[in-house]
Amino acid sequence: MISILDALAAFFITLIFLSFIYPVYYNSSELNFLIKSKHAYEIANRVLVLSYSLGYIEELKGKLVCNESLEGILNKIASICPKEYECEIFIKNFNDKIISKVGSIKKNFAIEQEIILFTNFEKYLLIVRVAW
Amino acid sequence: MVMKYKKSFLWTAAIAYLITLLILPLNLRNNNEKILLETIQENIDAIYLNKIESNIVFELYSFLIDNSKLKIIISNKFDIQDLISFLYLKLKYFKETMENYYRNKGVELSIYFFDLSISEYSQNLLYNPILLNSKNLLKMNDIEGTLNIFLKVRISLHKGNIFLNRNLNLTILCPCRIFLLNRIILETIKSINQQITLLTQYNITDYNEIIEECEIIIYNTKEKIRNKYESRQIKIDISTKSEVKFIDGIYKIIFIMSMNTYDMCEAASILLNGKRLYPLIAEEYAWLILINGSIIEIH
Repeated sequence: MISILDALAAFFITLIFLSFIYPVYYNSSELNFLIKSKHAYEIANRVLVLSYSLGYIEELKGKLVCNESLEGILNKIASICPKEYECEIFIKNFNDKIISKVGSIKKNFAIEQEIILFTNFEKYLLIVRVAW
Repeated sequence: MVMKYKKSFLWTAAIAYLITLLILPLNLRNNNEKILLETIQENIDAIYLNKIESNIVFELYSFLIDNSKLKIIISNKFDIQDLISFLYLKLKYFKETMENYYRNKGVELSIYFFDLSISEYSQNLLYNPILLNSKNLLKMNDIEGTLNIFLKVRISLHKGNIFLNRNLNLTILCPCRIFLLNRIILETIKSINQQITLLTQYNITDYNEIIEECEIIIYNTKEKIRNKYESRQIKIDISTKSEVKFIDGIYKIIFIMSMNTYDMCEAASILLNGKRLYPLIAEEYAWLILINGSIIEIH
């Protein structure tokens, strides 16, 4: 026969056991999040480096200097982003004012990578946000 | 009663043993995941540092080209030393901007620039095709007399446990043919000088005739040079002016020629205040012509 004392002992020990297990599950979700973040960072990096090597950044700077619409060239940059991911590309000045933006992110988590752009007399930030 | 406690004790011990067996692999897994988390975080930091390095290299390439063109357009002269001093000044601004921005993002960044030099394009130089394409320069075919910038760069980056140190030797092709423009000026002046010097052999006594002859020489030479270089998108402008003084029976003619040569290739131009401006080298040359009766001296 199992006494109440036995049952209580088993119950408290189970509680202790669960408290051990909990952080393990917690870490698993954090690990999953970090792995996905890493992929997103790699994608954002690729978007930026390819934009440079394809001459898109040069075209963007030309349009910034001439005060022309940036939407077309930002869309070209956004087209590098794989379709499985949501991407947002925007350009800001150093006073944190958004000059132009394309794409939108509906998902909860997104990472961002930025680069500094120099034109003849100004400097800007080109930001790529990637969500999964 | 004793039996009952003994039984409870045995139950507790059994469960504790079972839990220990279960927790042991879970703890091991937990430790492995901790290492994995750290590794992935380090990977993310490494990706971030690589991005900064790409940003520095690509921007530096573009920055040096744009500022060289800007300086040439502003100063209108062929002065390599002056251009180097200007670029060092601009590089200081580039370094401070990059370092300050990324320091605020938690990255320790140090950039050192040294051994900046400028020379003329030579076929032996190797260029990075990716960098060339980033400025749409891969299709450039007429690159004779183009500017070359050499720069050594040391980049040190540090974030968390990740360090990244790079020593780069950048060879930058600046699509601005100032060496060619300068050669055209020297060629033109040499040709005009030779022809004007020949005027001493003529029997001219009228200063108006001398001035007219000089202008014909300059016009013909300009047309010859223009025809030679027009197809290569080089524009040549020449203007002349003269002053005549009569002192002690001698006519003193100061004949001044101003010559501007432009590189009209679009890759060489910059946009400034909505205007497209082209690199220009300007030079002024003067002759002193003395007419004493039928004797002509040219200096």
